Amino acid sequence: MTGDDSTLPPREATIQLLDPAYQRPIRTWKFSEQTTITIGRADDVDVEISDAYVSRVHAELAYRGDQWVLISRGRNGVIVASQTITELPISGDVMFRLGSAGPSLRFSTSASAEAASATLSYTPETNPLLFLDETKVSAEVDQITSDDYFLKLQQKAKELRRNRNASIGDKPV
Amino acid sequence: MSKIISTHSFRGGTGKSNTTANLAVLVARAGFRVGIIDTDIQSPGVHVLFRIKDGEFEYSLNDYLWGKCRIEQAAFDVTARAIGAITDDAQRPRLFLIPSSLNTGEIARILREGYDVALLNDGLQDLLKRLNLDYLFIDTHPGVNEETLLSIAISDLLVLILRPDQQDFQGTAVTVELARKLEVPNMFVVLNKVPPGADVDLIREQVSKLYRTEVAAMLPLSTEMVRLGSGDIFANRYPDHPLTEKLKELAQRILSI
Repeated sequence: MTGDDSTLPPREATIQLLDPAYQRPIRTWKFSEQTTITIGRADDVDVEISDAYVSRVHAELAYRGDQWVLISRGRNGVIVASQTITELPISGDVMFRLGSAGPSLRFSTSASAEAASATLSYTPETNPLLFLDETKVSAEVDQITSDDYFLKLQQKAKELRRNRNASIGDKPV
Repeated sequence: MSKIISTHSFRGGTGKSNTTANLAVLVARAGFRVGIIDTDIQSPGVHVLFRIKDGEFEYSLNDYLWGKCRIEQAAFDVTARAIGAITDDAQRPRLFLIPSSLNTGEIARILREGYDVALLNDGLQDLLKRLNLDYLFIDTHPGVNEETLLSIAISDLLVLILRPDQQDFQGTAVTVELARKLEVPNMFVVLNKVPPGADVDLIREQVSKLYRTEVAAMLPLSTEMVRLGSGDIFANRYPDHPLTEKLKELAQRILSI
């Protein structure tokens, strides 16, 4: 496949499919010396994603001049930072979603990873990875709530709120 | 009916005091009598935003907890400096700050000796009554201790402020569950310092789903805020800034409860 420009990208490009709950990569595709990367549900695309919300050819990444451009090809659109885009030149990394209900993907190049390691203010992660260890949360909550102070407070919480409002109503200043 | 709003963060550095001070100013501007009490005795900071210098106030929350003064004597009227000049007899808007001591010796003493949390509760109730407050913002100490739990327990609204950061996220989940067990009538989350380029919809969806709580605001990381360095109330310095607009929306959300 060829892009609009014959120049080959100097670095490796990576696309990751992200877990919808925790934004962790669950599948990774790597490309080198390729100027066009197609993404969709069809069998003949480079990044094949079996998802009802994804069009047969949903998006494309094209290397033009000296940078990558993200292009929307499907009917459901491509969303970047809450904005629906048709074409977006990419500098560094980008996280995008295939349609408002579709899967999220991250595009990065080895160049952006190099920049991140050399530049304090630059990070290739556009979204923080938030993960909740619910077992740990439960254990900590149990520990605090089994304390005498908490039990007393729990019993008195409603009363404290009620008394406050009653006393203010009774004694206006 | 007066309302108590506690702002809490599991960890320090979330911008809790800054956000609290801005919200208190914006709520007061809407025509209310508002108090802010700095119960972060270990590391007080709200006074800095109002440019109050050490020695400018006679009493602090520490003095009240040591029985040296009544709670209202520790209330510093910051209306003129934060909202603007109003006539002396005007009841509204008014803004009062109850600072914690800035003296390191006094901070060390209260940490060493502790204090009666029940007395803090009495003080908060008295403050509402004696200053005839419509809203009292409690700027709590990060983490979970007796004073924090008390503040949460008596609140009409708990505002949890966190950054989109794994450590903040895990710790705040504990506070969310504790607040549920204390049956706090209203609770919402504010995500602060959201970095540019982040997918705000995705983060909002993720946080609200895992916490089962409303995300009331996503406040962007602002260079202007960082540059201001707590030297002023952001909403006053940058009245038309996008961050101020978001803070105003949040203030309206608070007024709607």
